[in-house]
Amino acid sequence: MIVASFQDYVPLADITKIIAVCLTVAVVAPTAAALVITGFEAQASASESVRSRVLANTRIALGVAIVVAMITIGLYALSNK
Amino acid sequence: MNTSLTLIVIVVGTALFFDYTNGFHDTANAMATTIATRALKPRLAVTLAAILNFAGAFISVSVAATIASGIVEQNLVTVPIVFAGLVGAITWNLTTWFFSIPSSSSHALIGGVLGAMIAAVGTDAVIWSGILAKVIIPALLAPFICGGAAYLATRISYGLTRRVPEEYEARGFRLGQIGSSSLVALAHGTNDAQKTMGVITLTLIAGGRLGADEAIPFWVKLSCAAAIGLGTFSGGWRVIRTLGTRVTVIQPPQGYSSESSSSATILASSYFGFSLSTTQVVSGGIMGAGLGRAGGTVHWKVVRNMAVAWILTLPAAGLMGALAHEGVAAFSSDTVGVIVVGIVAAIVACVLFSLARRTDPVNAANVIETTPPTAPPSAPASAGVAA
Repeated sequence: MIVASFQDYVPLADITKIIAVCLTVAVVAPTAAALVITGFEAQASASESVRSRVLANTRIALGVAIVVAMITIGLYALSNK
Repeated sequence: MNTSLTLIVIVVGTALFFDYTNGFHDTANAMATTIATRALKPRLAVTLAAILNFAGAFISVSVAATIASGIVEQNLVTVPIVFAGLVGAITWNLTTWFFSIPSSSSHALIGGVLGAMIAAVGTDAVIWSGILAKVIIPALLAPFICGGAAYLATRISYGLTRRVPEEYEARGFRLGQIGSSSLVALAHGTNDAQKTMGVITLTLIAGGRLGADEAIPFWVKLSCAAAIGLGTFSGGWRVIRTLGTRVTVIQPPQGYSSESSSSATILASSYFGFSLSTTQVVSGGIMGAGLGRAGGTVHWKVVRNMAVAWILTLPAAGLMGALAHEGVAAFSSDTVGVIVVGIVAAIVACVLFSLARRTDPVNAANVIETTPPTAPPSAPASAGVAA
């Protein structure tokens, strides 16, 4: 009864989606940032070996790509609401 | 019936001034944590926010068609009611700014129009279920949705970078903050400038100067974008100080987590057509980020003051809107009434600006000086509401 009344005022399905998006971003955004940060650190402390440098650069590129993708999705949501 | 041009010009000017106050009141939403963590210098941060607010105003006009849609009976809204609602909203915005309290400009506008509407037409003109669905429930949900996400993001941020030297951690998260706060600024420009576009469009339609089916004139879009951009550029330093340094001590990972969660919440809710207050979302995010760091604290007295302001916004702006309407109605001519009430409101605004300058001037130079970001204040509660 209470749930039915609440649903009259608030679209629970949409709120569930909003919460899902927020939780996804809450996991993905720090992960992307951590990739870039650990990549920079690895780059700075990397030995001369090509492999370690490539690994560090890959981390940075992946992190930046995720951040750029998130911003693009955000801009899409903004212009297509 | 065509409303006099003088009346329309005054109402449009008042709407643009509301847009300006909206801009400077809400600069903190995007840039408070960015400034607090020194990701950007204060003046640079508000300049970036101003540019993005200006640009954001042109991205979409999908919700600009109406004011307080679904909250009051639209066909009963008149130009003097719009004016009185704007006066109520501006007065409340300036009052909360003076006391350094982040409060919702959107709720102030809705409250002002509600109060003016009730004074003019009565309670029958109010759609109470709309207020519950569009104002009260979102206001209750927003801080918790964003706060929960920010808490989780902060835990993950610190967890994933715990072995990284602080120098790299801080630099990386500061860079991320610039991106996430820019998105919040852009979204703010899109959402909030549209509200003023809606007000001006409604005024032009109600005044017989624009057809109901006509598109929003370009000068309306441009002037609203410019007003919110200028407001943002002038920097609501008092509110920035509260959100950036007084709710909690913000470090770069927390700032990044808070802003990422805020932008996700604002953009997702906008996309699904669910209107949330940017201020309440961002405040919730900052609280969540404050609690997410091990040893992090939230200054609950400051939060309590903010919550009281949120609760008071609707009735207080409504009361001011109702008083403004009664003031206008006291004169036989709407134009004369609007001019007189406008002068009184301008005097009140000048007094508040003047008092703020004299009693506790906050600017780009001292916005984060009062509370160093590396150490929590010993008596934070006393700094809750600066006057």
